[in-house]
Amino acid sequence: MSRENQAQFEALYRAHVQQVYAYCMRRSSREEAKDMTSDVFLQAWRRFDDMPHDEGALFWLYSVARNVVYNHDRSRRRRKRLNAKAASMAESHVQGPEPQVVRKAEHEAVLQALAKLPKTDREIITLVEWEGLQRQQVAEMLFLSKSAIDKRIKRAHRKLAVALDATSQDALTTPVTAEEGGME
Amino acid sequence: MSNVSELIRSANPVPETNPLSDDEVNAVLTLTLTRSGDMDVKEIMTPIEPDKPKWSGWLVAAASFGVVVLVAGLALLLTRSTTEELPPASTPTTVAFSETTVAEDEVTQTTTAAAPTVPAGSLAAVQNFVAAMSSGDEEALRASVGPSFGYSGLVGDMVFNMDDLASWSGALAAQQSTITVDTCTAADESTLSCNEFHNGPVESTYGVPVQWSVHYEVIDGLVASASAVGCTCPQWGDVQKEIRAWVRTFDPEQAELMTSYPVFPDAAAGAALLKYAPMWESFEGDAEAAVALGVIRAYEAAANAGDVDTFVTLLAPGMTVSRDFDTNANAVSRDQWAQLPDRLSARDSVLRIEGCDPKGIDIDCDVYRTGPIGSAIFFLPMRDTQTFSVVDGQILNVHVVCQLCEVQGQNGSTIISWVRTLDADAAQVMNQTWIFEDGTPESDALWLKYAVLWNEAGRP
Repeated sequence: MSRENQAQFEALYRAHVQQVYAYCMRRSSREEAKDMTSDVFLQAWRRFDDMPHDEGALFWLYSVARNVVYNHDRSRRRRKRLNAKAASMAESHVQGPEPQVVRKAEHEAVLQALAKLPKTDREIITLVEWEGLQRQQVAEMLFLSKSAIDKRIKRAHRKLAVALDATSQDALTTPVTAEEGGME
Repeated sequence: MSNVSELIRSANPVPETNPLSDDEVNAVLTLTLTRSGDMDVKEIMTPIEPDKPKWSGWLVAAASFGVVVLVAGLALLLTRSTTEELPPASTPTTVAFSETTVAEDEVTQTTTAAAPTVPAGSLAAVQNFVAAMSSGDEEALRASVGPSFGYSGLVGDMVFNMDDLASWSGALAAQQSTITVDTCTAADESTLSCNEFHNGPVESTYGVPVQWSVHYEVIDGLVASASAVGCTCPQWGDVQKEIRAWVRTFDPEQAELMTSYPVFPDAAAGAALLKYAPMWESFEGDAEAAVALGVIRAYEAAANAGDVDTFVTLLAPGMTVSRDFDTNANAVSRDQWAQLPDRLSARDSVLRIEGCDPKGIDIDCDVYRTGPIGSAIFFLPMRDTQTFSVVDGQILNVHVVCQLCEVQGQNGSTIISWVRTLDADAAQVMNQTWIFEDGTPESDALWLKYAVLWNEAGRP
């Protein structure tokens, strides 16, 4: 790679590393996310001449990150190190006692409801809500039409609303224990 | 629950916009560049400072470069034995790998001690060689080595020729492995001692990064010789053995290809591993699921062979097909589904079932129909996600989730409009039966003809 390309690569890296890392971390643990981020940019290094260098670069990186996360996830699943995705996501990011117990329980309920969505629907929802992508951008990333994205989001929202409604009904009738995150 | 979006956003596990500190940003960049092999040897040899964050996997490996790890199992892979059972770590001669632990200051001493100067271009020569190895490009591979090139393994002092290497390269390409030169140190004026990683869907089933230590002698910009001295592949042989045993229960032919080791893995062995290693991982070696997979494989084979009789025996009486875009009124019947082999044949299509994943008692698979129609319409094979419910050796239900329906709909309509300008009758037939399962031999032939013409005409 030429010096000019090296400089361009570093600029690309610095422009997008935080977003790529956040994407990986939302789907794994903090330490794994660093390895995954490196994997993603290693692919960018190797395909630097072929990858888009305009605003499409980030979406290209997200596409690579999807595969990287998927591969890591498969290995992890086989070794049975982690439980269900939702549980791992929720646990990975707990930094300490959460003062707002109700809010935490609500977040966990949302994560668990997300985990129950079909894989593609979950990916669409999180790309829009967490990564902040436009629906059209998600459509291009996933090789789906914009209307398909709209329909899937609508369907997913409906499922999430039902799931969360059920969860909130449970919460009303089930006391939260200290072990479950309730305050003593 | 009026604002689901807001709830999802508030549950974002990483709400901060810059979750990495500046130090971490730089560290990940350094790690990436090191793994890319583009940093020069001096940069690579800079010791990792003790107070840097320690990450699993790559960084640990990078910090321990130069440490020669011996494993006889590796050598077995490189050994041209004629025994039938092969995998590197599965014979009595195998010495279990034990990860050498060296204190960090020892690593520093090792790596900073008066390194000889390596001629410029040596690293590039090694990178050319490994790139050719993982690309399966035999011509590039032969061009990257000197005239008397030999590749040696540790045990038995075996030396392998270019034909062996070409075969192995074909296997690596077929199983989509990539080799990354991670770190290199100068062993003497013409020799680099390199750590490499083999990555890919197959390696990921081994549960650890597969790392090799290889000495490369470089003369006149070409790799004159290579010598594998170790690898961190403790489970490699055992895992391959398990995969082969599992595959044998439902696809003995492919399992047999995997036993083409130990002469040298070839493209067929690589392809078989690529097909089944990730699947074995997903299924965690589930024996019952293997039976269901066997049914799905037989279904795939019968469909592609045009063997309707066999195909029908695999569909349970009362079998149903549901599609995510169907209403009950236009759901596909078992009889319609039984025409799949003929339909594929009429469209010059091939059914390819991949990426199967267990989902409770069901199995989710990516189902492709490759052929000229899909290529014309999508520039891609047609793809669905299909869930197979297999009971007592027969398929009781197939649920189809169309992955490219929107594109199919848009381009399909465009094609029909275009055909209407050429042959209104044909367009009418196509318009009535353009969904794959609802077609007829006549409409299949028309679609085959016009989709290809449309593509060749520049997709007007």
